[in-house]
Amino acid sequence: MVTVTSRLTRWVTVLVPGAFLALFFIYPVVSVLGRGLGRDGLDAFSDLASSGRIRDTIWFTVWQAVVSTAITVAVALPAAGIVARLSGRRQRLVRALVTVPFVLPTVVVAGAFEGLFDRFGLDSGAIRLRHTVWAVLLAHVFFNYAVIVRAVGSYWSGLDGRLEDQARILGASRWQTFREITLPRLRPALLASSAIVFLFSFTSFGVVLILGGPRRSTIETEIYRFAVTRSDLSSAAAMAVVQLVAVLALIMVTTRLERRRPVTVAQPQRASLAVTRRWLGANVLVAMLLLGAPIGTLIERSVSVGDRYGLDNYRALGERVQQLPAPATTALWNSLVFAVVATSIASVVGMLASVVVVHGTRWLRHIFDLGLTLPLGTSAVTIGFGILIALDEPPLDLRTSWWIVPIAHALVGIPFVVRSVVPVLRAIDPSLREAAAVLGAAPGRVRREIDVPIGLRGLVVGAGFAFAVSLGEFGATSFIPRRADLLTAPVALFRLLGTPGEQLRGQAMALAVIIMVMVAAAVLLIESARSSNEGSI
Amino acid sequence: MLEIQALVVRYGDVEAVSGLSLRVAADETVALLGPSGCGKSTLLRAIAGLEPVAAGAVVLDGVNLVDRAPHERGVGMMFQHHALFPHRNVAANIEFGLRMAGIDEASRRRRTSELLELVDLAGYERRDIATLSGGEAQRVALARSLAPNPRVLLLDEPFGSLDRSLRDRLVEELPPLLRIAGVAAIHVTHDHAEAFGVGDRIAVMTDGELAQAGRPEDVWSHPVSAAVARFFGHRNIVDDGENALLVRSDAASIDPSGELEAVVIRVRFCDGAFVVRFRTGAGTELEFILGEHVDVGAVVRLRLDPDRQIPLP
Repeated sequence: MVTVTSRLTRWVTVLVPGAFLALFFIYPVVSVLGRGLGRDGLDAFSDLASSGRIRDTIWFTVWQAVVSTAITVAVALPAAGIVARLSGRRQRLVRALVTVPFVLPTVVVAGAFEGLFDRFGLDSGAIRLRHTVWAVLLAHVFFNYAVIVRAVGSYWSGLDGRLEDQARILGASRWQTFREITLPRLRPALLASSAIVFLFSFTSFGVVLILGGPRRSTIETEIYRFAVTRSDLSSAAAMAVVQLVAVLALIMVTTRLERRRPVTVAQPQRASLAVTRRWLGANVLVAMLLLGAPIGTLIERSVSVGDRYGLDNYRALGERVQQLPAPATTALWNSLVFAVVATSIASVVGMLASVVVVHGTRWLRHIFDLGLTLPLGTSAVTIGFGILIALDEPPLDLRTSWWIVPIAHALVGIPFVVRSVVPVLRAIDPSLREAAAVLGAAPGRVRREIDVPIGLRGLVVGAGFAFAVSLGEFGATSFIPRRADLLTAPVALFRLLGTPGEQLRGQAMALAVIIMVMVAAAVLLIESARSSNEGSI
Repeated sequence: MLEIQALVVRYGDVEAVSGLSLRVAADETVALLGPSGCGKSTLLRAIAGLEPVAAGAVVLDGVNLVDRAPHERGVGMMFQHHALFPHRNVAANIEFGLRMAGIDEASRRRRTSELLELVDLAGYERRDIATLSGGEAQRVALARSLAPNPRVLLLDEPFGSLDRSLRDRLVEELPPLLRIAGVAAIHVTHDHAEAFGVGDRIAVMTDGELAQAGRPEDVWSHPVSAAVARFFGHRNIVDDGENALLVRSDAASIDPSGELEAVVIRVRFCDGAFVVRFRTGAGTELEFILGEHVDVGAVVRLRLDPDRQIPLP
């Protein structure tokens, strides 16, 4: 018995997210492809290819991503091992602590490293880190440390530690035990999370743009420089096609690696052999230097005025400076409003899309699954560039519209919502729905009483991430016209960082601290919402 | 009264239930017993409307339910793993069915506390589902399925996930609760002790068909086939290729003038008696419950009560 209303609901459920993605994601991406593979794009491509510029850019993009991944794994793997041995509560605390850097906006992190180099005289002189590849690598390790520690750490704690005990009893040294027993078993988690780190480093934008300096280019920054700095849209489109192809291939590898789900024991036994104090101390020191130093220096720089400390930098944020179309405080307010609107859009679209992914017919499920994973991997730069060239003429001229920012941010946030809601919906025991039906709930009522309230718990987490992501979004927003009402805090920060001069630098640090605090507050709320849910789902 | 008439349920080409008929009186509990995979859970789900029926009828008080959706049947069901709603507390779980029926809040609250009292959980209204023990969750699930006063209650291995001692206790507690509720019940289980504990009648299901139904003592004493007999825990089934004979474990006594000579090969003490395993001259092994101890290796003569030997078709 299909009533008119339930048929209507079904159509809305499919059409709203479908139309949103088609218009604001697929259409722009197709426009990029059309432009890049059109005559102008191909001409630009052959020019770039013959000058060797494409080859150099791709080479740098790949090798910096490989090295970033290798260093991250080397530094984070021992920490993952320590986290795996911690008991529940401590493990959650450490996991939350190392996650803070991961969720910080790229511009803020770039600012923090600039502050660090500035503070310790590493911006010029004998040891120069500013505008070198080392700065880029350091920042990538800073970001992705959490990916390895979290993914490998939780996998590790699910492994049966008695095997290591047995190996030690049979005479293996610590190192032999790790190499012969632990490492082979960690392989699936290690491969999957390394692939993610590689993908993140490969598509990293803000970090390379700010910390790498003007001479270092990845595919991402090339798209930006061609499109925004030189207004050479054909060359930008050609680079964007290269990026799309590369990212598509990377996502396919990543999802395949992720799909190999771990076989873990239901009640893991922790290895009883303790971690030595020196080993623990070394890891805590690395984590503090790597993660703590940039953040600490950032805060210190933001309150230092000449030789003394004060809040002058913060006060100055209210003033209009020449480099910005509006005061930084306006940008902060804009960002908050954009984040609220973008989160609302992402929640509605993401929630409906999740329902389709879980309950839709087979071909709908496949289409949505794909259509929702792609924006996560497709770089924000490609999304921003696509919107720039696709939605710039009537009837859909959104380029000058205020809505363009929240829509772009929602696109970046939707995958987070879907990734939080879908597993929760999938985990609902079908017998709950059957029980509700037997107790007298009609199909629509079952959805309202069972799926919606349980799904909402996942939505809280996803919406929190979407909010945090919107607050810090830089890649897509950097393509948006420079106007007072469209100025976001990260874009303002980028402008301030790009301007030489002591005074603006202090203001930049203060702005970065405020953005960091707002994002951290959002993430802390998510973590508490998540841990209070854990007991009951 | 619930009448299942020639019911057929198919999964693709497989017939999970093949033309089964069964009647359950208004205040009767039928224990539906069968090995796993025999179709007993499928039968329950078909009665509740959760599986489509290929043929036959489910008639409740003269009305055929087959074309009705689950929520329009007025049938109660208790699921194997309780299926309590994790996002609602105990009271909200119990009053769910009442809310669906549009009953006002005051009546709902009254009925909820009445039911909690019935299942011995008075005062549990605000408890979170996650904090309940296995036995408590079981009782909340029972209260929830009884709340809307269903005319039929279907119980799908309701004690399957509980440990032995808790199961034994609930087997004792359930029949009086169902009697108070005055509901026709079908209780699915694969444990014959549980079936004998809760069922006014026992129905044995094998391969999608009803093999036998009747009062517990009758089906136990006169199983219709070797498979059914084995399923009740009968150990002595003598099959010479043409005829099968069930020798009940209470059929033998030691008597120097008995007709059967046998050697004792194992003795086990259980519930105040001895379970003794013998081997006869023909090499057949038989197990009997005896009141006295015998030594392993002893050769004794046994007298067999002809009334406790049942030919199996």
